[in-house]
Parts: sequence; structure tokens; C-alpha cells
Amino acid sequence: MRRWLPFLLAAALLAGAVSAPAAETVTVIIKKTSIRRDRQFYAPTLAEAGLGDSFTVLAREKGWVKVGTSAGEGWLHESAVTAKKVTASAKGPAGGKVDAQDVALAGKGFNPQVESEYRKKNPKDDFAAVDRMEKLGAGDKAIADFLAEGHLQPRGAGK
Amino acid sequence: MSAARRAAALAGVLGLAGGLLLLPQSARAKLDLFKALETVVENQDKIVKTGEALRKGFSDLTPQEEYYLGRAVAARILGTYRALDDGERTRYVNTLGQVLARSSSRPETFGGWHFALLDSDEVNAFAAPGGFIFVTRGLYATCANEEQLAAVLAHEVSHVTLRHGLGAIKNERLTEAFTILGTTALKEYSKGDLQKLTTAFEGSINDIANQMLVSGYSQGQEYAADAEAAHVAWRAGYDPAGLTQFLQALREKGKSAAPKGFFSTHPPAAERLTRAEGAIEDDRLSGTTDPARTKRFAQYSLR
Repeated sequence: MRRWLPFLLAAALLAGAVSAPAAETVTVIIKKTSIRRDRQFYAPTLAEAGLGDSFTVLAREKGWVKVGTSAGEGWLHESAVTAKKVTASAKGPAGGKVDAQDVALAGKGFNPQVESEYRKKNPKDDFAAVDRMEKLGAGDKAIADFLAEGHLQPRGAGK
Repeated sequence: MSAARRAAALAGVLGLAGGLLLLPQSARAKLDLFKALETVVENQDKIVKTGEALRKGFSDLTPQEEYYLGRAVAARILGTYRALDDGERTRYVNTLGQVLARSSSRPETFGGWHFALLDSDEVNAFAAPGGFIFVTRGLYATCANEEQLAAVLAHEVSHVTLRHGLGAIKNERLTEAFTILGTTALKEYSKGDLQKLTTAFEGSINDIANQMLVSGYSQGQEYAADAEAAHVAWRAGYDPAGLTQFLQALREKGKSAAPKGFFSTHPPAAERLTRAEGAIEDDRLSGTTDPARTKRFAQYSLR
């Protein structure tokens, strides 16, 4: 028995290390998003986040993820992040698995290189007009004014 | 070019492109051979695995891929129609659209939501993947108030969140793309891989545009988008009755309109109306049409 003791101790330590709860992280899977002070789109922005940025998860509530940032604690909407452990490498997948999020975060898939090639073959498609359309949006202030003027009280995002 | 001639020309281009890009038997055989070769590679080197096994269909497309597909579909629409040169109304539609998108099941997409008006008398609206939404001047003018315009935009937003456009892509195109992506380790593609990916991409754009502009979504998809639209509008604070009011107006317009464009790609408005009324009642969605919004809409009306 004594001979096996060190091995048993090592096994117990290993099991402990494995079962210790690892901090969950989320990674942003869209170009840019806002970390909000409260879990709603109409709350003030605490900080901006971009594609590939990772955060430690502090809580999850009603479609929102609470994360820690250097500016304090804030909320990201679930549609902007993935909880999957990400291997964002341009060199390729670690561990041999390629999945959708790896592909996206490594910049692979249908990307600017594919679009550029496609545009050469389809000159009648008006990408310049799409670029102009993408510049249009509405900032938080414009949206807040629009809601107030129209007496609108949104009930939040859907599932 | 008249709307009818433009639609006919577009249908011709799409048909030709679609025909050329359908995979013939010999190409399928090559694809099978390609897969077989990958299996050999996989067995020799466990680091390389096929994408084919890990990504199967359109629901596995990433937000980024959806965005680039959407950009190209939007470019096709804006190359076919033209954006309305009216900054004030475009800003109004955009702000209203953002409010609705935030009340949808996917408030955040890869490149964000964008809304535009098209300079056309046709009564039509389009939703490109990723969140590029278009409403024609003709459809805009059919709306009598903001609740109705909100219902129209919410319907298009729902086509995006329910991924109806992506569902039009023929599976062999995605199998081809995912197979290449599963085996290439580089961010920059080789010339051969880039050509194959571009062909798959181009075929996907033709599939989506063909469904959107020529064949239309299935009736089931239209009813689902209506039901979801009632929820999106209601969550944004709008009266869901805007949807039924709009469908009533559409039903009246459809009685005199030629069966083309919107009226050929959508199920009869009377049937949509019955189902939308049922969905609103079943889910007990209710609201009021605030006069402040109707007054605001009057400033931007195109009637």
C-alpha cells in the first residue's frame, strides 16, 4: 500500500485540479459591440469590444452575459459572443478540430479575399452602394430620442 | 429599364448562372474523390481533419460568412434597383429598423443591421443575410402609419433571424466550401482553393437572390416571418395590429395589381391576414397605436 501512496496522492491532486471550476470565458464573434452598464440595449455604454476579444464570465441573466473589464463590470448580449473555447489561429486549428467559430475567428471562410475575387466576376453588383449603406446606422442618442418622441417602451430582445 | 424588363433580365441572368453552377455528375464524382483523398490525409496525419464532418449545412455558417453572403446579396439588389436618394427618410427607416432589430432574437449581427429604401414603384421588400433590409418606395407608400411600417420591417428582420435566405443555398455548394475550409490551414487561400470557394460563394449568392427576387420564400416561411414580426413589433413597443392593418391594405392592393414582384413571390395577403390574426390572438399580443407615432410618420409619408 505504501508503495502506491505517492501515486494515489498524485491522482487525488490531479483529480482536484481537473474538477476545480475553470473560469468561463466568452469571445466576441462580431465586428464590434458595446459592453453596457445594465443588461439592456438602452443602457449606457461602458466600453467597446471587437472581434476576438475575450472576457471572463461573471454571471448570465436573461440573454445577457456579465463580464469584467478594466472600466468595471458590464453586460454583453449573447448574440455577440460565443462561449466556446477559441483557438483563433491563422496557422490552423489546434488539436485537429476545425469548427465554425475557429473558422470565423481565424478570418477564414467567406472573407474579404473571396469577396474581392467575386467582385471581379460580378462588376454589375453595386458594392459601393453597400459600403454607403453600412455607414448608415443609428447611435444610442438618436435611438433614445426616437423612442421618447414615439412614446415607445421596448420590452427587450426576443429569444 | 422598366420593372418588368429588369425582372425578366435578372431572372435570365440568375437562371443562366444557376444552370452553369449546378454540379454535374462528373463534378460530384470529383468531389467524392476529393473527400476520399482527404480521408487518406486524415488517417496519415490526425492534425488535418475534414470540415465536411464538422460543418454540414447552412445553419453552420458563421456570423462572418453570413455577413459576406449578405453583402453580396445586397450588392446584387442595389445593382438591380437603386437606393432612394432621400437622406431624411432613409435615416428615419434606419432608426426605426434599429429599434426593431434590438427587439428581435438576434439583436447583434456580425456587421450590424442596415436599412435602405429602394427607388422603385414596385411593392416589394428584401432581407439579405446578416441584416441588410430593403423596402421599395412603392411598399413604403402602402403603409398608412408607423405601426404598419414597423410590421413590414419586423417581417424582413424575421426573415434574417430565421435564416430563410441562407436556407436557399444548395447544400453541395456548402459541402464544397466546408471541405476546403476543413483542410486548408492557411488564412490566405491558394489560387485553386480560392477559385473553388469563390464558385461556391457565387452559387450561394445566385441561390439566395433567385429565391428572393424570382421564386420567393415558401408559404410556411412567410407565415413564420409574419408570426415572428408580430412579436418583434410588440416587444419594440408597437401595436401588433400594424401587421394586420398592413396585410389588409396589401389584400386590397393585390386585387388590382398584376401578379408580379411581391404579389408573385408572396402567398395571398388574405391567407396571411387570417394566420397573422390567429398568431396575435393566440399569443395575446396587444398594444395601442400612439398618435405621436402616427403624427411622426405623417412627416415622412410618401402618399
